[in-house]
Amino acid sequence: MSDVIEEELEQSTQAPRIESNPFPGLRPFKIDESHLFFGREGQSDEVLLKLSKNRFVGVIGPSGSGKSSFIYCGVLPILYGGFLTNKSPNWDVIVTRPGASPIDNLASAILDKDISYLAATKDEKQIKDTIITTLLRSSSLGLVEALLQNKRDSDKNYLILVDQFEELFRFKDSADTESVNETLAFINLLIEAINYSEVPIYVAITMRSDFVGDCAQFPDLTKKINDSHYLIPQMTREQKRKAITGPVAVGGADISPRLIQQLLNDLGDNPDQLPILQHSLMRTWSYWGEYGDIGEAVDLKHYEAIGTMKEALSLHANEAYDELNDDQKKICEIIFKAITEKRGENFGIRRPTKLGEIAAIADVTEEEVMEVIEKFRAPGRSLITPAAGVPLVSSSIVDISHESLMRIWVRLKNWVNEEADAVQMYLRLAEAASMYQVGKAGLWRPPDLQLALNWQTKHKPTLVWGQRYHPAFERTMVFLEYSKKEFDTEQQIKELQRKRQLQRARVTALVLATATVISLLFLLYAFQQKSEADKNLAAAKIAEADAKKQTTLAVIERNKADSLSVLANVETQRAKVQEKLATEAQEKAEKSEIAAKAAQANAEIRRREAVKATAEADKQRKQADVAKDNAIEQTGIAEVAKENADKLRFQAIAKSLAIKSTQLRDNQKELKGLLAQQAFIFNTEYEGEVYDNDIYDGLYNAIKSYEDPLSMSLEGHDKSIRVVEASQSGNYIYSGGSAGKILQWKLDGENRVADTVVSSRENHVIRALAINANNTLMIAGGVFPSLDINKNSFIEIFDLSNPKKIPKKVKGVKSVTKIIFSNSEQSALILDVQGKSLKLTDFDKVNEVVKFDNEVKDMALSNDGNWLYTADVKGLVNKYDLINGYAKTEVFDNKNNLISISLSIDGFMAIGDRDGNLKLINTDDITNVKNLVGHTSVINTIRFSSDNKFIATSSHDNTVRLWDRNNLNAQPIKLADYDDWVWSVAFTADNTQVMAATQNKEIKAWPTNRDDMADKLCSYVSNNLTSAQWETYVAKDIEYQSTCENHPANNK
Amino acid sequence: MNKNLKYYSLIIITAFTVLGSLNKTNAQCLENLRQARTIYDEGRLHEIYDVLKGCLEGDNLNEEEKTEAYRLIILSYIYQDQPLKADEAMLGLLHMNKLYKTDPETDPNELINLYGTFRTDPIYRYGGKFNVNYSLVNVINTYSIGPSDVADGLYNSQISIGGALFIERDFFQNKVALRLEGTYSIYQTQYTAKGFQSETDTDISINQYDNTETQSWAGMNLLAKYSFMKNSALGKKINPYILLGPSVQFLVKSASANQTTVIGGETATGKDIIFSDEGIRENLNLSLIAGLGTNFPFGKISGFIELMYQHGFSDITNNHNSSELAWRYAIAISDVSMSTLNINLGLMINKYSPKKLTE
Repeated sequence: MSDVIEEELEQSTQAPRIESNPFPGLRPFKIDESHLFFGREGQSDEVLLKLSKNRFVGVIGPSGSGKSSFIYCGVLPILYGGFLTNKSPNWDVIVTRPGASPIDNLASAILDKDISYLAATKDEKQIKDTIITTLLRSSSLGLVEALLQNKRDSDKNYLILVDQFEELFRFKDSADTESVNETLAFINLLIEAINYSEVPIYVAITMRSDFVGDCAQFPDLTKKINDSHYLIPQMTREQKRKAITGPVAVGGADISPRLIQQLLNDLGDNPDQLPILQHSLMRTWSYWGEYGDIGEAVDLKHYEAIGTMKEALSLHANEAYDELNDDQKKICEIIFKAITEKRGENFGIRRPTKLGEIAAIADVTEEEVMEVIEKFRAPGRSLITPAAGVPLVSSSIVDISHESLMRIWVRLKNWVNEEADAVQMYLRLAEAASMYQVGKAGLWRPPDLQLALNWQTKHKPTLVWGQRYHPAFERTMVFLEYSKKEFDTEQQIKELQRKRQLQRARVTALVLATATVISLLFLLYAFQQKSEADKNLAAAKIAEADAKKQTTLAVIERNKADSLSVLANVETQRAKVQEKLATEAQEKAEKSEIAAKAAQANAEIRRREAVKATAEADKQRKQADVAKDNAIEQTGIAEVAKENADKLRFQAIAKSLAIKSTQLRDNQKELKGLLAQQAFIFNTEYEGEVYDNDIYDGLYNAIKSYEDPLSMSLEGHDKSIRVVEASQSGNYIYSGGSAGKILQWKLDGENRVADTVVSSRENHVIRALAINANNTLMIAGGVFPSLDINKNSFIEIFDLSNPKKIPKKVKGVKSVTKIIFSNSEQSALILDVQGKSLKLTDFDKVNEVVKFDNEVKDMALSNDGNWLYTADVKGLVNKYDLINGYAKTEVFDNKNNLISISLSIDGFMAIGDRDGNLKLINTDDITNVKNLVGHTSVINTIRFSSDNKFIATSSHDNTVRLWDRNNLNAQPIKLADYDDWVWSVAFTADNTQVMAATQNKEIKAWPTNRDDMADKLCSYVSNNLTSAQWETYVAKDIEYQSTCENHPANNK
Repeated sequence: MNKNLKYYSLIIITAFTVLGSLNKTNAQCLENLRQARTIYDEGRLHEIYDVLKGCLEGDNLNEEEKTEAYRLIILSYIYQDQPLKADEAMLGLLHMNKLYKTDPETDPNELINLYGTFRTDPIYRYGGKFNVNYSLVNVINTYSIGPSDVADGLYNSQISIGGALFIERDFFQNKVALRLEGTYSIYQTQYTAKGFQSETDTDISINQYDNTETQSWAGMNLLAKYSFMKNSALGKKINPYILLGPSVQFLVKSASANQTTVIGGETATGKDIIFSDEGIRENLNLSLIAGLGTNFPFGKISGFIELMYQHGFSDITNNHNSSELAWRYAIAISDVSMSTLNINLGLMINKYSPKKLTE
């Protein structure tokens, strides 16, 4: 059956459950278990026949084929039955197993049959042992002699059964000559015993067939085997079935057919599997015995419960392993690693090893090793040999009972692999050490070193272990140790360097941190400085802006002065030419007069001569009269010419004076006023242009230098003023700004009294104001806060009879830019949505009446109130018929973006574009276009004075221009006393003043009537011009005159 | 040699040409900006965008100059009644210069009003702070092992440190901000008590017991922050505020170093005891925080300093009768609550995302 030898044939197993178990497991069947041995019936006879004939038989078969069991349960019972020989039926069967000491074992086997030996004391036993052993070793007939010495019965036959005969070769240490000799001696003992005819000694051996070749080195033995051997045949499927069902039946149980089928299937044709089958059946039986129901057949579930043939052995081995404590588990691992060896990828072989050697490998005592081995060879387990009961000594060869254990027990499989890895590592290391010694390789470094150190920690290799694989263990370990030390030293040096680096980094960090703190302090200081600098910068910017303003002003003034000066020079030249002409005419007249006088004298001579010739005298007198008449006529012509020349001269002087006046500083206001006044006098006296810009400018500047109320700005807004409107009655001015503030100004002559209608508000930009004719209602619109998500806003309607009253809000607009009352004053038109929409309000609600195609920038209502004129960004002027559903008619195409439009009461239309061009167009004849050039930037507003005398325009070029409608060819009065954008302009109701809304919070005011200014100047000045001033500023040849009659002449 | 010379000359000339053209671009844009100012003053608003449009991208102008360029463009659109383009330009300005503010004194109201229709405040702020704390232990109950007269231990306040990360957002029209803080604080307390050890049945020797406990707490604070000078000129520079809110803290670890002194004898260092492992300390501490602080804005980043008082309400002693303390030092632990006084130093970063607000 297996390679396990049963030493104590009589020894029964201990556990009751095992007793009742009809399957032996891994161990072979015992002799007393022949009733359980099935499947090889009828095969014993041939063996007995050969034994009888040759006194020797070799039962040969593959591993696990059942050789031992066959001998024990198939052959020996028949032998005992006296079948073999007719000499005597008494048989003494000595069963031995060579092991590592075949002769000693044979001696023990012989003595075990000696009853006196069994009864002897320990000392006696030792003596007997020595005697028999010495006898067996003394000669080749030692066995015969030993048997004869112990022979108690002359009829007794001896059968020496050498089980596991291959151990002679397996356990032999070929290097050990003693061992070799012992093998030879043992074989000789057996051969001689067979050949010794005096004593009936029979020898039977069981041997694995793969060791047959080893027998060839012993010719006698070879001959015996050749003569008599029995090759044990493989069991048929039927025989195997019997081997299963037989013992079950003997055990008094049933086995289900499907389990039999399953077992036979699992078993296959491999004879090696028979011990596994027996083991599985043993375990199945035990399980069934413990957990099976009464009357229940042994079934598949029991078989599966123990893990089937695939797992049963593994589980069984694990049971044994789990019984060990931790230390023992380690020893166990070492034992199994020692007695196995890996060959090939998945192929392990057994490597029987002496117990003492295992203890040395594990570095523990032999007793400890024995304790572990006992667990694995306990009855019913038999996983390790020697089998249970065989005393263990240092030289006992430890082996696994069946190779299949290596295949099936997973843990062992892993150990085998681990051991193979460990050996591989060791061999690599040993090789490296060897190379290092001869200087062909260096010390190991990570990762090899780390792997080797891990290996060392894990496997703790011992000298004995190491020398099994490579003799130079010590050198190898020294190599490893040296590699480690070398590496550690290297690491320490690196660590030291790292620490130094770290220290350096820390110092650097500390320095940087300190620097950072200092920098932060500097930063704070810098911020403080920056704040100071910002303040200074702001102040500087304001100063710069002021300076720029002053510069610009000065430049403008200078340019103006230059141009006027040139003009004055031209005028002066013209006047001089005229004067020269007049003088020439006068000279001619004088010449004529002299000629006349000469003629008269001649006539007197002639008259005296006439006494002599009367007729001639009369004739001559008539001629003289005619000549005299001519002379008188010539004198008249000359005087008119002179008068014209004087007029032009004085007009030029007037302009020159006015310009000089504007060029004087305010601290010369006396002179400034006198020059302006004298300029005004000359201009008036010598019939200069009524609205001459220079004269106006001189007067305005002069009264301004006296801070005359007429020249003062109206201050009350905090931010830019977007719109200014005048009432048509009551002389009020209303202004609205980007801060939402609306002011009402009462103009009472020179006094302007402001009243706040609405104070400044956030998010209110007033863009449009409209006041009704009788000054009771005002509508304000612009960009106001939204009231809902659609950005709907409102207009405000003020009751001007009580301006403080909270205005009425009428919703329905978004962004209003212009509002106009209808003529009926029952409604108002609103330009909304940045000029995209025309809306109509009845002061309760707002309705859209026209949606414009283009963005309309301004609109104006015709006098009859029936037409609304619009000016849009495309440059088109359209008119909408308010009576007939807002029908549109294109009036004029300006070809350039229009910004403003206004209509006069006499049927003229003025339009202004974004480049500063102003056009005056007769609405009845649009081909009649008068271009009025002057502005240089957007014309924001155009207004006609109600007396039709003026057009006022305001522009982003920082000027308001006043155009004299009666003299459109003349330059307009340029109201430029200002340096920011002018948004809006309006005439007061009495047309005496122009009010302009400016970007920088002021309403600028200018009087339209220069007489008003002139009237004031003489009251401001305290004296008249001196002669010197007269000669400097007027002319030396012009007679001095008092500029202001209310002051005495100052020419003395 | 000559070849090399030519080669190097070519490189140098190319480099100068490129650098020169870059400078030219800069100089051109500066000239354009000057020109735009003049055009604006002269009221020719429709020309401004064309003059400046090439200079808004890239590095042709610095931030201040770009801001002025955008401002001119925005004003030109406003005064030309082109609100959509004005919005677009304002958004461009705010993306370029997130800290742009209008000047109520000098800027036109139209510009101020437009600016007001954009989200220009930070949408949230985040940052971190470091704190130094001073522990204030409030004893609720005292316990002792043995004679009651040895029960009165004394707690000494200690200074330790901590830190926090936080995120903050304005609410209620930016009047109040809510701040969520994740904190990690280490508190240290020193406790000195009399203990006793019975040498024999009759002889009792009184010892002094000193314990330095180090508690580590991970916590979460929810603080309401009110800036009371936000709109004043000074407030814009230092922005003082007050803080109030609850805090919850979880004990990470509490370890104690122990020392005993026999009166008239020697001092011995005893075994360190991890209070948290022994279950001596509660795991949860609820408290209320009140504090005041002030910001120092530097552009998008603000530094701040805070003084904070954290008043603990929880009794943080779970087991006053620890067998370990009793056995080793004959000491029971008092029921205490833990308050702290904190000085915080931190940095806060504003996160902006300008957009047109729907009115």
